[in-house]
Amino acid sequence: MYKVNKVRPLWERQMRAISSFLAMVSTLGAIGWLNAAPSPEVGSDATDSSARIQQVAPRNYEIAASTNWLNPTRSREVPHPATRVVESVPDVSASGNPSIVPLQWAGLVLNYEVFEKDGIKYNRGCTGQFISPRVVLTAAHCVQDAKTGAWYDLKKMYFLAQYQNNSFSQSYRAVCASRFDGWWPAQLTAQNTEERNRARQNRWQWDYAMILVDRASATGYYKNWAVGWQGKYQGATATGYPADMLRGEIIQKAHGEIYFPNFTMPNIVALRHNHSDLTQGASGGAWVANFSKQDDAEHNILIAVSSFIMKEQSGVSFAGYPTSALHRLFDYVSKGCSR
Amino acid sequence: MFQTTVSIALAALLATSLSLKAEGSKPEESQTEQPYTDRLGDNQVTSVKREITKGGGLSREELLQAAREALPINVLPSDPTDPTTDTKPDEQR
Repeated sequence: MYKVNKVRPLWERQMRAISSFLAMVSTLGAIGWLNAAPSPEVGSDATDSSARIQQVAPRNYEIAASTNWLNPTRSREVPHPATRVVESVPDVSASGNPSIVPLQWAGLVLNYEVFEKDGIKYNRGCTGQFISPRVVLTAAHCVQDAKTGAWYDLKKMYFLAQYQNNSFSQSYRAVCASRFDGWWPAQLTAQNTEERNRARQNRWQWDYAMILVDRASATGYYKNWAVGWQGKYQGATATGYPADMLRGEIIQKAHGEIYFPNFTMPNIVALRHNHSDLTQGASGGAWVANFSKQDDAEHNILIAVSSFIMKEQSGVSFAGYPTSALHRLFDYVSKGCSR
Repeated sequence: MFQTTVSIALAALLATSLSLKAEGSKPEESQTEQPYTDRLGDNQVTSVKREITKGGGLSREELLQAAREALPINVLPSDPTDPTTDTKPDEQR
């Protein structure tokens, strides 16, 4: 008698080898799957968005002079030109502090590569602010070109919260944007001149828009906003990133007197802040009644957003006078720009 | 034989899931839909919406550079009776 070693057929050995290999791959895959980082929630397609940064509140002149107000310990290899501008401008008293209420709710609305001229692509900047965890209020002309009526591409629209001195805390991406048709009425292209001019005058009261962004604000939002407030507020603080002040690198605030101009344009309100350079780039910036570091129901009431300026009236900003329609637009945009 | 078949089936299932997951995490260009209108009380609104995808978009450095170079959007009605826009595309921030 001798012991016979049973030899398995070749195909069976191969199958066993494949089976073992696949079992190992399955196990490793399952481990990898379980350990993988959770996918971002739907709508969250922010790029790096940076780390969540809790802002400390430096003094205004420190903000204006600093090239890096978010993290003073981190050095920059190339100093930003804004520093030089600040050094040459002694009065930085209008500089706002984006690390405290209410300017921590504001930011730069960036439209990337919106137009091309001589082979160069240009970006556009505006001011915006959170009025709810995910809704940013700005001017209608910051989402739709005031001259051509072309919508800015949402794929290239960003909101850089607390933008200041070549830095920002969080970047948000636009999901949807809405504005009233009064901003771009069909009558703008009417054959009848009178009808066309009336449409041109009427549209400015509708120069506001709301943008739903991909995730909630990390720094809060304006909780108080007022409509139909005529007679209640005599003054307000205009906020924004005017390019003529510190090259639009630092958010500005300028308090002024409110009045209702005798225009042929209906429902327009004016703010005389006497800062002739609080102009371009401040579009969409909030007018804030009872501007304060205090975050309560009595302070920081958003009453309008900057729309336009006029050559003849230096130091005055104009805005559409908000009505209850603003609330309707907010509800609509909050639901994803749908009813 | 049965064991082998089951193992292969499980592995195939897992591989499919993994490949789908990997595909889902790839940066993609999203599409902006055409403007659409809705009625809100007495007013009509027009909106644009972007199809949401994961990933993509500009990096922090690209955003900072874009913000630095961005031109302000400005409207400047020259005459209240005939508002026209006056943007300044050549002016750098």
